[in-house]
Amino acid sequence: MKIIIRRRFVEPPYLKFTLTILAIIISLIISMLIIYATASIPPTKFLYSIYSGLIDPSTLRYLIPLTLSGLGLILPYKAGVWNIGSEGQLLAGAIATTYIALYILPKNIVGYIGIPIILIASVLAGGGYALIAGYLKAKFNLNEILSTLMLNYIMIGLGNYLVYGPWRGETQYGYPRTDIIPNQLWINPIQFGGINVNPVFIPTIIIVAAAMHYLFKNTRIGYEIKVYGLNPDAALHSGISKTKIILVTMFLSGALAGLAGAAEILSIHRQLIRVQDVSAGYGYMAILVTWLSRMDPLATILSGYLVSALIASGYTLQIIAGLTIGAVNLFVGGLLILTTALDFLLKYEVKLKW
Amino acid sequence: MVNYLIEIISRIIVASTPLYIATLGELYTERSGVINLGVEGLFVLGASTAFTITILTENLYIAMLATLILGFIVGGIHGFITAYLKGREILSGLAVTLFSYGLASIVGRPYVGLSLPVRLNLTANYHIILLLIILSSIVSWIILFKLKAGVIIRASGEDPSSAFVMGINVDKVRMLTTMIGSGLATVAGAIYTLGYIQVWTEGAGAGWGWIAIANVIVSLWNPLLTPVFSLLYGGVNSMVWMLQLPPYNVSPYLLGTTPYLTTLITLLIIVATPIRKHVRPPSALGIKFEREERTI
Repeated sequence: MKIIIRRRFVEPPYLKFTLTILAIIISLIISMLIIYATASIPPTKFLYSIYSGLIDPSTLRYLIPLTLSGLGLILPYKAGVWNIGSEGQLLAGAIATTYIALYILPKNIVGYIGIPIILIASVLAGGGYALIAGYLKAKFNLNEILSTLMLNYIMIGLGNYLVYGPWRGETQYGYPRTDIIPNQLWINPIQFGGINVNPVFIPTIIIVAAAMHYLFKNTRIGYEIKVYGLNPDAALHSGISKTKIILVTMFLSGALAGLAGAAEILSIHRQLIRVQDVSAGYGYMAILVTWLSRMDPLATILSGYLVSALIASGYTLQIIAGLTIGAVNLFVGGLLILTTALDFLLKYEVKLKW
Repeated sequence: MVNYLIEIISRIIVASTPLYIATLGELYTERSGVINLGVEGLFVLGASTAFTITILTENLYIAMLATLILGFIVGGIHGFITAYLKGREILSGLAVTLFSYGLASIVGRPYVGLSLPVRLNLTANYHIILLLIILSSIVSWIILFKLKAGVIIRASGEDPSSAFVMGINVDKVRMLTTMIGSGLATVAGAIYTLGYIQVWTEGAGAGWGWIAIANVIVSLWNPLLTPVFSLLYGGVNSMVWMLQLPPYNVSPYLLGTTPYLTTLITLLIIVATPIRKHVRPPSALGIKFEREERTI
């Protein structure tokens, strides 16, 4: 028997989709076996938790931060710029949101003036934080993977310092959290077909996804980003500015992550809490959301839903089987491993010959 | 006074050892042309497995050996995807890190907060450890720059096409160095819990792997410089906690960011000053070797 591996020149239709489904199924089976072997959780319980995550309307709650950050990451990843800093940028947005809501805006400001101000501030905070790494890469060619990672940890430390220190709320009985932001700045869910839907951020996600689809299909900058990602040398020779591509993609991805941070504070927590409770690694999971959709903005909403369901099922497992939420990383990492591994079949044709 | 100094020095050395071992492993991996971001997760996984196995078997050597083998296996996933499947190594490395985070949390969960039945006493043997660190860095330099094995590893990282023509199995070399680097990363994690912090909580050891990866750049891919910067980071990280006490009273959450801030600043110094002329990463670092594309 011989195995023949040949490079593909034409990609068969639907292969990407089939491989993604295959990756999901295989990684779920592997996760199931691993947690059965190490924590003796029976497969039926595991499958039940996945099923309940997929149909549970509260899954939409995780969809918002994951999909917003995931949509943002499409831009740098298409340009071959590795922004791993969504976590820190999301927290920068959350911290800016709390700061503006508690310390800058007057207590009696009306919601439709206050909320836009907060959203703009969170976008600037997240985008600005990403620009630090972007600037260092553009100017000094400093590896953006490492700088964004370091900036994540720095923002985590800063956030926890604030909630344990100067920002600790006076009405919080000494718990590490700030005071609650004024009532009129909350974004409350509305009933839509029997499901609680966030009236600001769900439409935002749809608009951003559509805008990004348009950006890559019809605009010059979208085209430049794609060309730069495919072949940086060719892009530079055709007059595309490296600095512009890096700064624009970093800023926009950070901005969307910052918006996700604002979403978490305004619609879920209503105060800044310990940062590990604001974001349980959403910034890292967003990387999976982006790659699972193969960087297609519209498909990102679907992959965002799937990863949200994995998080929701993680919480179910936590309740019914006593697993910690850290175990979700096993599913997320496993799925990302399978996606990268199965990419092989997209590029190469494997044939068996007897 | 002398005792006090010795205590400080021994503490710095113990704090630096895990970082040094993880850095050395990643250095071999990167010299062969592979970036392994899985080092971060493997460090955390090593920390948790070593702790659990020590509690179960009460034997440090079994724990270290089991951790090493686990590192070979989980790191082998990254090696296989990059070397043989030509996958995206940044993604694959991050995936291995997330997967290992999850596995570490499941493995360690039943034993969280327990105390170790046996301990790895590094503080008393700090002089031996310092000697081992210096010796191993010299030996690594000899392996990489004076022996045939090193030529093979560096050829795979500098010019894989020529290496292939010379009869080197580049894929195999990269697979092996990735496994070696991963094994060392898990062992480093094991030493971190067994010898340094001596307890395990969820997320123990997180962040050290990233610093190790940065440390490879900072030491300019040269094993002789690795101990210097490992000791620097170890020193900063173990000394900075003194500022938590009066009269300084600095917030522990701010102090927790110092290793990352130090790393970022050191990286910046390396790339923004004339030192950058000496920053010469392996030419094919992070670049796939695909035989179909070789130029004849």
